[in-house]
Amino acid sequence: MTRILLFLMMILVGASCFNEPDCIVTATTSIKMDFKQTKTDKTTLLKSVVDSALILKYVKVSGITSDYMKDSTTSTVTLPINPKEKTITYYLFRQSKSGATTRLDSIKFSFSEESRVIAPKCGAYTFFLDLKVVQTSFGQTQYKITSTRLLKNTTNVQVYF
Amino acid sequence: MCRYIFSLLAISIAMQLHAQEVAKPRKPRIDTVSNKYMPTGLRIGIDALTLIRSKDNSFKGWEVNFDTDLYRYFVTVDYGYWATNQLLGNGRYTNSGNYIRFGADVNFLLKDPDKNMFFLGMRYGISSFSESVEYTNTASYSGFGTNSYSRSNGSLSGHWIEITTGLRVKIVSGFWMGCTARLKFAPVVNGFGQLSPYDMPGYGIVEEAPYWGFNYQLFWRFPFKNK
Repeated sequence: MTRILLFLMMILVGASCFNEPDCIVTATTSIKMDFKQTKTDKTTLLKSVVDSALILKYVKVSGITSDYMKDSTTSTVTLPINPKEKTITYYLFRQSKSGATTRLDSIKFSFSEESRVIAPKCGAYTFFLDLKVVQTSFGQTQYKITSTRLLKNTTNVQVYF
Repeated sequence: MCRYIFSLLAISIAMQLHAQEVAKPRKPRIDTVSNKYMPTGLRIGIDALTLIRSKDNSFKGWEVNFDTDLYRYFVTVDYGYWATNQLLGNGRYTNSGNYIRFGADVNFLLKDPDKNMFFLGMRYGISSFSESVEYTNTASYSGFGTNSYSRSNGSLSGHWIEITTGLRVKIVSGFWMGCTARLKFAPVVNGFGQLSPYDMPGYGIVEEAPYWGFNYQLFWRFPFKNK
């Protein structure tokens, strides 16, 4: 009987640790876009996808009057969404590497939301999900949604140039 | 040869007939299992831990337990209510609902004269509840400001499975004390909208699986009268 009681005591003590909630908040209000390029190896003729740094003269976000980004050379951008709206549009004004040509692209996303209580100490957070492209100047094969959930450190869209 | 065989057969039959005459009449076999699955009493209990927790403003609840013995097996039913009102880091969460668990325990102290128990068992739990949350979040871009949310799930239903173990110890005649440890798993909640279910009465945090639960119970036993 003593052994049984000790066993149960161990379960009780151990279980109090198991029920301690984790305070890890992965929700974010940003969409991460990666710019990619398909390269063909001249000798092996194998195709590979590599990061492609773009020269962005400016990036505009619907609902923000000023430029969100300006004169930046980058292969990834993290752009905000407006939690009060159901859609967001980004305008990317980019320049060719030679500087000879410029082009304005736009991409409009829609998303839905879900509230989640993480833990009493952490609080509740809105998670944005079901990310979709509703309108864009990019061709259909030029972009790929890699994650429909807006989570920290997660790429949502890959755009190919 | 055939005569010898016939003779041996005749002798052996004769011996068997003689043996049957000599053998003492066997006692009629008593069927010792015919009544052992008849319940001998009903135990009614309350969960003291839930009542103690109810003194805290963030939790209100109660739970009653019923079990009856069928030889070494106990059929159990638990019925309870729980409501929480939790202050969050950025808001408040409330829920309330009822739950029922039913299942069976196997008693490993079968020969204990006091009907003490060390048991293992399983339960199937069903919960019906509602919940709501109010909170504020700040957007990653400061220009989009702080947003206030008020979300609720009016009518949710859920179910889960438990593996249980515990003790029942007789304190005085007709009164037992015990504890039950519950390993809860496979929670399923139906009927929710924009608020992801958080705390299911009877189960706990829905996103945590497995989830542990405990009861410290006080039982009163009412024996059935023998006819």
